[in-house]
Amino acid sequence: MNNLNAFLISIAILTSCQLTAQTIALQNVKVHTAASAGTLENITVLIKDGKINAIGTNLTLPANAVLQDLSGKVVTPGLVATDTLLGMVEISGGANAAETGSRAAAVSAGYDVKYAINPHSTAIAVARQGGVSSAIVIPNAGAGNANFAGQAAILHLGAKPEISAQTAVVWEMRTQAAGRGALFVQLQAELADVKRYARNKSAFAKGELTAKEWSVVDLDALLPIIQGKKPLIAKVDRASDILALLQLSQQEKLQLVLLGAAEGWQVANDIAASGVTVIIDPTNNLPSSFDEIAASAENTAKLHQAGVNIILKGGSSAHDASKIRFFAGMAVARGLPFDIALQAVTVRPARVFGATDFGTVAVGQKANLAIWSGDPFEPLTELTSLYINGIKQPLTSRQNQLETKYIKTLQPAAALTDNRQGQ
Amino acid sequence: MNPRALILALVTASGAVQAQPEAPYPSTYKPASSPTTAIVGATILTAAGPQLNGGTVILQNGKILQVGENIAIPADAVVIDGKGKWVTPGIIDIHSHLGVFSSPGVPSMRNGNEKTAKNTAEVWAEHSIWPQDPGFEQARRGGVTTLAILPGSANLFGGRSVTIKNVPAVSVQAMKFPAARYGAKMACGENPITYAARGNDPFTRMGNMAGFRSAFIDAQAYLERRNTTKDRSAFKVDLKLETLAGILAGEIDTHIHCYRADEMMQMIDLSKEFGFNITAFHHATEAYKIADILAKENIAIATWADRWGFKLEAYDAVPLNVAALEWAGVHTMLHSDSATLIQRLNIEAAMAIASAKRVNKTISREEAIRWITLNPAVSMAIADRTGSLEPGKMADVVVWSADPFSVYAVAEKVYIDGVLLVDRTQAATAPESDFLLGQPALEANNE
Repeated sequence: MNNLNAFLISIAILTSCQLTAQTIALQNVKVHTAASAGTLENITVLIKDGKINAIGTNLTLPANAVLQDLSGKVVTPGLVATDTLLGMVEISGGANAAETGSRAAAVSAGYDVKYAINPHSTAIAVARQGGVSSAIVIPNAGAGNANFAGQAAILHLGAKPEISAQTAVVWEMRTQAAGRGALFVQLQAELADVKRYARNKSAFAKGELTAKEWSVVDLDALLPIIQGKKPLIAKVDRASDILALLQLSQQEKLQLVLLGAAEGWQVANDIAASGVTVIIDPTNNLPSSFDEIAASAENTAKLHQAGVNIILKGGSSAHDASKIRFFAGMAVARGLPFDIALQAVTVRPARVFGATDFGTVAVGQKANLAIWSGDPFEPLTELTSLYINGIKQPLTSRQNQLETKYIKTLQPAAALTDNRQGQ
Repeated sequence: MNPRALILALVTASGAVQAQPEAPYPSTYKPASSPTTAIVGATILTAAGPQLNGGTVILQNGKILQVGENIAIPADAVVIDGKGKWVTPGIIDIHSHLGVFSSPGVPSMRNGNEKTAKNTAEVWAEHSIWPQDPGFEQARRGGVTTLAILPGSANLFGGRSVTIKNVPAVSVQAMKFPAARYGAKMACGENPITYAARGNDPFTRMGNMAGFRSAFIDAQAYLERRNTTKDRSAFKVDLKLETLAGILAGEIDTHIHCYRADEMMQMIDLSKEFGFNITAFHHATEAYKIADILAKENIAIATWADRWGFKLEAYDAVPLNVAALEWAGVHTMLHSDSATLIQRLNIEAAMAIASAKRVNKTISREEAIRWITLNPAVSMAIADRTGSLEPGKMADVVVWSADPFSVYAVAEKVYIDGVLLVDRTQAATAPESDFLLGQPALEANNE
């Protein structure tokens, strides 16, 4: 009986789910655009052909437009969860569905998360329930104490997920494995090899690349990094390491992005002067290691005040991607302006990782839109709809089916006699 | 009157009848003196009754003197303007590893899991606690005033837990909650199997159950011997069996790490086989599957709002777990098990309220605040002294900048036994932890 209920519900979800982009007018909404327009009150957003077609108060609406009066609702761009294992990890620990990085010593920088992402991961639907429309999937450093972890991707969470692969290469400080004195020297030697390879690919075959035993996939992945065409994401926390990387980045003209940066506030002016973006967890305030002695709840606000372009992240577990909005809220509670926090979970990660077609509520952008009952960062606010490419997404997950199966107050017969309702 | 009789009389007089008067490593905690304080005009969640709007709380001599809407303010009181603020009891976390898994997490500070055998009931968490763990201060800044520090869940019997007040101190004795009961940590499921020393048992879940049963059979024999040995000086105490016998005798509470519904059912049968009481299942991400049974058995649940998927036994966790338990009449609590989540248990509670909203049901603020205050106090058997804002209880109080279920709320002022230990309205002071004091990294900047 319970199984039948669950089955019927899932059929109902599938049939109510819109499969193609319609022309839709979201009327009388408050829009946090995450763009220069700031916040617009009592306005209409027109979705057409999967894109934002128009925004205004007196729009001429196409005859076929589905009108939705959403008075009192708040619209933001779909949120972006940055630094997540979403799609890669179904279950942490021990399972064959828990890949976090390369297990092959021969592949490090070339490791491509694209192949590790499973569009059928149950965590994707849960992430959508948090208003997340895209994720920057970043691998962990893998086998053989390699520092290069591999190539990140942008995962779009539509009912049919899309992946923009190879958007950046990740490099991770593993200070205890090699030691700083070795790993910075080694990094410079490796980058010098990649430059040689960029000038002349035959250098590889001729055995002229001597910093380490190279695989050609790693060299190829690092080409756009050394050419400054794609970001190098460096996982780093200690202030002195940040300075060393800033110097290296300037010298090699890299597009450096810092990930972690627990002690970033100490060298905030240096980071600001370099124009480097920092991906930061605003709740990281404990000295979990000797690289993070200065970890502080004020890190985020101080970096912003110094003029650093910050992106906010939450837990990197696939299962926590839906919670990114709370991390934005907690950053605001610790001094970050609301508009910056919103940009830091929408347009900034999109732009930093090379995408220009989503991340704001602006004409021409993909219609990736989250609709909320109120302030999007508040736990007591509900996500009421999520559009990705103009298509309304199902907002249910496997978790909800378990709830329906087991929780009596959710079951029709019980609901009638439930006197707790409305308590 | 000899000293032991005097202590017994004092302890009995204070109402803490369960405390063992001769218990070693006694609490030396004495709150500092504090001025009479009146927090006036705030929205108050007492955890004991309805929300008060524009209410007043008066703290005197470390205790709550009065709570209400029309209260005379003592002439000597320090008056705190509570307009626009919210006041709640101090947050209580029934599952923390602060001090036993400290920051920085260097190998020598991983002191929470003895795990040299499947049964290490002889160890006491308080003997691992490092009072300088910087996590204590950050938890205090999140409003946490009382915590249960538990051993980890690596083996079947992890050892004894201890209840502490979240006060800066040089020794753990100076943090220990006076005359609080001990708990024993037990763990079922994946952890005892995963972490078993190579070649040792338990290797399977059936091995787990055999390990529990064998241990309690030994404890029964020990308890019998302890009860029948007239000359206590001739009785050699066994630390491990002392903890297990304490469980069987009802002197020591049980905190059982258990995720799956089927395994909780096995543990309930284990408790019936040996006649002990299950105080609480911790984590219990599948508790919603057996909510009615948990209510009937009077077993409390301590869990998260919606952590899930970090291992197979947590795969069926659902966001509605907490609300469903509340609706079924289960004694429900939120816990942290984390040095960062402990700083925002109020937001965890808000997330659980939101899950009820999603299915068009209601959890009130009055219900939700109890998950992180009075309910853990009840399970830790300290509700006679803290956990709610009621006259005579310890003045463990948080003044929030906003609705505590808002993401923007911060614990602006935190009082423990009437002593103001966090005040965000004042300029930042040096860190409490000796580890962080004087660290150049915290003082340097490149301005």
